[in-house]
Amino acid sequence: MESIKKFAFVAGCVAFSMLSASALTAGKAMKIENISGAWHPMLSPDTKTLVFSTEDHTGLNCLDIESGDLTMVDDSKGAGFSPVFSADGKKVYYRTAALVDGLMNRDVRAYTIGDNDATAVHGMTRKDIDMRAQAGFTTYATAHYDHIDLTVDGVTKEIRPLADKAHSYLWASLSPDGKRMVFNEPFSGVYIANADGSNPRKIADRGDYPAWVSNSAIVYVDAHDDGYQTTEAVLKAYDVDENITISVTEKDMIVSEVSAVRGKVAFATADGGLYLVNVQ
Amino acid sequence: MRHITFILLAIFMAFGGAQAKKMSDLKIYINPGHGGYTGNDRPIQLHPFAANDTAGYWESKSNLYKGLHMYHMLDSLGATPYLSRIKNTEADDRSLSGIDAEANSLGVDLFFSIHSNAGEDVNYPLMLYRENEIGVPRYPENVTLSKIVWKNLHSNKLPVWTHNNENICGDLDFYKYSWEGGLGVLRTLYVVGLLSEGGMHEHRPEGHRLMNDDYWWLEAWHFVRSIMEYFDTEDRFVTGNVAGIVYDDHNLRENIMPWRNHAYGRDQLAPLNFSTVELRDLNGNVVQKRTTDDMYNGVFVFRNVAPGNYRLYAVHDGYYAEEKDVTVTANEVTYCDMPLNMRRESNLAVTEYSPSTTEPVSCSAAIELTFNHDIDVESFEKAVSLTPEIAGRWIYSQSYHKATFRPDISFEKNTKYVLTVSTEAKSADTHFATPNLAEPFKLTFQTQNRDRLSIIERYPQPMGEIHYKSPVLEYRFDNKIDGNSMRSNFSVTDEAGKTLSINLRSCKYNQLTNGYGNAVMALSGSLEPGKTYTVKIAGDLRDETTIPLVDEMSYTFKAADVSVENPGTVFEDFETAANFAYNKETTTGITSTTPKAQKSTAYSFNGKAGGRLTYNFSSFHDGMIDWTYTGPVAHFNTGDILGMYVNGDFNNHEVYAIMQSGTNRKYIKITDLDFLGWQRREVKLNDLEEDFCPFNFAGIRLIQSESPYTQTGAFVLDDLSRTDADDSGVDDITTDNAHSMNAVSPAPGKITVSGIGSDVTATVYTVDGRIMASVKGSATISVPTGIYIVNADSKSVKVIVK
Repeated sequence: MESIKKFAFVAGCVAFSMLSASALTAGKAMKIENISGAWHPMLSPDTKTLVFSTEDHTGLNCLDIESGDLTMVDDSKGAGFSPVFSADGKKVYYRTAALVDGLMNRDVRAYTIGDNDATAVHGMTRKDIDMRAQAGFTTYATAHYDHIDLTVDGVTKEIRPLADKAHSYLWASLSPDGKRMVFNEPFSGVYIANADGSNPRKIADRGDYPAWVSNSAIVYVDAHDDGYQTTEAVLKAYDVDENITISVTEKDMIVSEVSAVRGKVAFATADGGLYLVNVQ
Repeated sequence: MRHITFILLAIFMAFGGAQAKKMSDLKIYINPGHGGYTGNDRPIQLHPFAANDTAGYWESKSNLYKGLHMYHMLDSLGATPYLSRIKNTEADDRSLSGIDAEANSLGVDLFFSIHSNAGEDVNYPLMLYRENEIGVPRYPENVTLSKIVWKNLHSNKLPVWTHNNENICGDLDFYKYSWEGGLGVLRTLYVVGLLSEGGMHEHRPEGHRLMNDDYWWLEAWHFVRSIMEYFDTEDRFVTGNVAGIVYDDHNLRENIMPWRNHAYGRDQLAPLNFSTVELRDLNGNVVQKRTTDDMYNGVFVFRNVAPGNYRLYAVHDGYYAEEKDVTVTANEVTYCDMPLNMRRESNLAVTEYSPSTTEPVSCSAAIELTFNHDIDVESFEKAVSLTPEIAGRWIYSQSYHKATFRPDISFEKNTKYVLTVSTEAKSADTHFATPNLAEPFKLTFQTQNRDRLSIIERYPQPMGEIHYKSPVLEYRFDNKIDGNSMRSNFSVTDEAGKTLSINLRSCKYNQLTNGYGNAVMALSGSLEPGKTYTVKIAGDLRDETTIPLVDEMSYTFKAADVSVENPGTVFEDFETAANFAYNKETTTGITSTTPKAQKSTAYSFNGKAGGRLTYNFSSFHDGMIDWTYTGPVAHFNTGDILGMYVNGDFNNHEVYAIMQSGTNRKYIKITDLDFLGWQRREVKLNDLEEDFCPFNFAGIRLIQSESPYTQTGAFVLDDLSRTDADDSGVDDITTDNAHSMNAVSPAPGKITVSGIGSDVTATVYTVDGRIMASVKGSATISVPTGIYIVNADSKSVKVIVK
């Protein structure tokens, strides 16, 4: 465990001057100072903790949003790829990656917020371990390339909401109340469906990292590129009930990834900056 | 952290050592780049398609088909492949971060991004891998993989590679001069991977190959073999492949398509569409059969052939069939091109020729022979002779159907030449019994009486002076010249040998009449007064018929500042108007284009404007134009000096001042326009009779000097001035030491030095210390009005020249 440092922090200063369209409003994005090279943020369910990584997912850092205390949890390769918080937000489960005889293997580790050490949960394996199950969830959705695994009360079944019209599925998740599902089909965009995947409705032609900000709103990144690199990536918010979309960030900011919990949104930018913004 | 490390150690021990891997162990993510048909999808216009025709070449399409082949190959070998796209439609542009997220979440073992690169005159594979910073690969395995894939792609002998050095590079390094951040598609990966630029699609022969399905398949096969090699899998291809290109063994690409592009080696020859190639076993049974496509590549690949010995058999309409033996080896590609010989099946014959045999021809003419068939160059050059001999070379075009001889310099003038081609010359048909010329060919022609380009006028003259600001030089020739040839053969250097830049936008060519040529060369910036410059025109300067100058011309000239410190009273500065009006009554010999007098801000010596007078004479002689002065009255008395700055046009016409008192008119010559750029001119008006004084300055007369070169031109005046007679002449000689230099005698516009030894140097300085002239022994030096210091033999004297 690396030493704990305190960083000047602005989370408490997040302004509430809101951009709004009808019921959907967004505050001004505030940068977390003195943190650089930060990518792939993930907010805890209690919104008290923010974990993030580096560009290639090497290492996992844990930031206490209120105190500004920063802890280096792990410096392993892949540690920052899609970590999963426990429902109470007190533990974060993550995988590290290693080449074993040239082949990609990943393990599972858990870190209890505030502890000194992470603990090994599962050894290196080539199997795709269900991280949400590891984190104790019993109802959730997870994308698996050509299908979505929908787990309800611990029972998992494969669903294909777009039937043969999907190339693959990405970033599937259920709304906090478990009544809706959001997922991305890489060539057609972002869809909202019923929790069982039925009645999918496209709400955007493009949208990376869709995440529930409430039971009726999501945020996502609308990214465009020239074939070589991303040229524009705007954070947008969508009101499911009102069918309204607003831009949360300006075009001069290239958003790389976003995470959302109960009205709070954390996002990283392509220059390694970390930001917080409220979306109501 | 420590106890986690312990667990990892245990894991590595459990997997300890390299274990044999199977293809079925592997998960491979294939990214065939962007999809669709938009600007980001890299279309290249290839014959016969129009620009942006979706049926033509698009990188998005060739990438996809390579990826699909790779997917099916991996799938059939038991590996688990994933594709980031399977279609090529407008909607198929997914986000780069989504591609990485998918590959990361799948936990794949390798990430392959398939592309080709731009580059018109080169062709080579390039592997790009992710770097954390320039020079630091994200994973060392990326470099290992890149080396293997590069080696395997470069082993493909269907392309003609222009570079054989291993081309692998980190993305941050490769794009460091283009943008920050490297390749977006590799940026957030945490798996081993690369982006393969398999070749250069802008290199047209490669672009045509990248339209071929067999070619896509073969690149995918090399990718898969690279994966086997990288993981050292137990599985290897148990079959081999036979690949080659069917092409015309002599005719060039230009014989089958419009061609102005680069090609190397075998790619220069015409690939044959719709050729049939059969792979036969040793019993003659056809094992596989291919027909080359209609995309001008000639590519054939026999896929997955059992190891053993085979015979290739290729046929094409209008060509002789060809057979070759090949041996197929497992896990390898056997390359065997099939060049075919075209059937000509008739004697070679000259169908057209030049030059004319009846009229004398230019010494710069070329000999051109057109044949019914493409000629065998070796036999032709043995068969052809020219009498008298002259150095030159044969150039072949139209796919060897046309042979052109150009002398290195030019043919001799007034000379009779005889060209003979013996029957030894033959076509490139290597099967036909009589491919030779049936009869010897003979061509006789006479050259004209001109074999050199001549310079007939130039400005400045050798050791001449030009004003240092906006310097312009002009050369006139006995024929119109090739302007591009002038640009490449003209140079001006300073005393240090540094070449001065030319203001190309201000250069002009061939503006003379009667077939004469000229070059007006404007230098960029200013020269340094007092400095010497060297102008060179190389002997390879050619006229419009390519007759050369032959002998290099080189000489020096000087830069000078022609301004004077005390120009007298300026009565016309042209700042508000030109103040001259064309006088129709006294003008003769002009065209219908009215002479003009205009205020010009483009030409001014002082202030912001000068007065520009333009003219168009109707013939080569006897023209005369008067412009009446309409500005403020300027009185002149006997002996007063009329001064002005004149910007000449090098047309040699004479400029006069019109001085008028009542009906008494005097025409006082100011200058010949035998120069370019600005010069100072002053005339002492001694011819004004005192009885009629004062005279008014009444205008300017231009009298045409007979010249065949041009009848059109313009000159510019600025700061017309008057200096009183009382102030004119020489009236002041003082010395600054005890010795009076009586040998220095000033006169209007001149200083004469005499009575000093022939080895003694006399130097004329301006009062601010600049050297105006330096002479040895007696000499007369022309200088503008002003105050000078003359130093000779350790004595100095101040001289006022008026």
